[in-house]
Amino acid sequence: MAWYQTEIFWVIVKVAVILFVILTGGAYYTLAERRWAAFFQMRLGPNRAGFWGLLQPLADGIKFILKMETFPRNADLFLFMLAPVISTVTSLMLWGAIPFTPIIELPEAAQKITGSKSFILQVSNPNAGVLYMFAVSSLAVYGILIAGWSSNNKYSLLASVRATAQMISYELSLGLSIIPIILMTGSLDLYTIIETQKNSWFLFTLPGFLAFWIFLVSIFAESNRMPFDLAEAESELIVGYHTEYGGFKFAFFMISEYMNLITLSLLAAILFLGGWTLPDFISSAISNVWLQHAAGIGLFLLKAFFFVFLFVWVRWSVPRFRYDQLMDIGWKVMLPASLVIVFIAGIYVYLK
Amino acid sequence: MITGYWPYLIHFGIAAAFVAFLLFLTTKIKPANSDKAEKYPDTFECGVPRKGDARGMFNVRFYIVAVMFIIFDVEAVFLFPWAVSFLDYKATGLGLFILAEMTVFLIILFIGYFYMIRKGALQWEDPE
Repeated sequence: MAWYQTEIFWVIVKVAVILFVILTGGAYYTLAERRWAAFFQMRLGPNRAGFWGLLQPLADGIKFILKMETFPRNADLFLFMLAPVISTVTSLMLWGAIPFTPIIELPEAAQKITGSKSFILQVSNPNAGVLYMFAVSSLAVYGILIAGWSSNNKYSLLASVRATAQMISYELSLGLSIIPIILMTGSLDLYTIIETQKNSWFLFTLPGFLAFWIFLVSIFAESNRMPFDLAEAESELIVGYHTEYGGFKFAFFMISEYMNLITLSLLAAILFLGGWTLPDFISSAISNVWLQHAAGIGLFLLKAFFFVFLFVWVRWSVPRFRYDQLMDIGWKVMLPASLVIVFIAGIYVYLK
Repeated sequence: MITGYWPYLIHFGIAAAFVAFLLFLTTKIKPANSDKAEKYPDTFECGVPRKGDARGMFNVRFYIVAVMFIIFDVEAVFLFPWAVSFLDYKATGLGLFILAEMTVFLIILFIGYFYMIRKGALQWEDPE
């Protein structure tokens, strides 16, 4: 095979693996959320389908497929069908830039089969990976906006307008909160950002520590999660922008929300907690290279899992904000704070 | 230099094809329904019959928020290249210069920001 054929072949394999993992992860996150919610409320939660309810996502999926399909009478049908597709495709695209593994040198035998010297579980390594992530994730706004507008329901429209205003407001502080990281790294490449944190995570530097809290609050607002889930305030707007959706179209919205949460958790682990890097004193204690890689990747997933759990933990612990409070926090606290942090980071990097 | 983005075209193609295929599959599997009133129900408004159209007016503040977003997002666009090249400038001894430049930029931005607050662009209740 020519070189580009092998390249394309491996890209397709990686995309297939990543799509499978993210879809399964998103499906099982719904189960985890329900189980943990039950745990917080001293209930049992779904535990009938399979051991510990582990087959529950499958049962849900079958039920979603078998549901009768309805379309609102006065909806814009093309946009109505397009909205869940946009939401899902954007959240599926997001995993393309995340480096799940370090560059692994392959042994001789594997080199012959794969035709390349090293392996990395990342669809591509663009030199502006961070920008790619933020660009694609901001496209998710279109899914919500189109969903609310096309279903021609007053509650859906109101919810989608609210969600859009909220997401674009917090996108500012989200974008500004990673500037300290870029300042300290001097690169937009996610791989370089991880490697720079080999011996000290960005969380433990002054600007990184300050920016982390902005980032944390912003990802909650960005993904419409609990303290900021004004788009789905069921006491005010029936269920939000997907009121009119049922069956698999609703499942797409649901799963894309959970996939986005997983992506943001991974991103938080990459940007602030050092990704899969091991500090020198640990990597020198492990002699085998493969064990080192396994430990690093395991730690990376563990860090991401902490944020995955945090999303649920906060959801069942904190009450919802009022809409004007939400906007005030976004524009009058987070935005000036993140601008000041950019300035602090500039001074910090200059003096260092 | 922009390289390494072509795999995302493949990624997009596979993802879109997968989602479209699933949507198509559900239209084939789901129970057949010939009753028009059931297939195309009225939009749900808490159980009472629908009144009017949803595409009416909504609060103008959402529009103002969108305008302000454009301003500050463009500003973030200016900050990104500054952040990337900061270390290079520092290495050539121009660190103070580029820091001062961004400070001026941020101060101008803050003036605009306070003007915006004073004008009440973020006031969600009526003043009285």
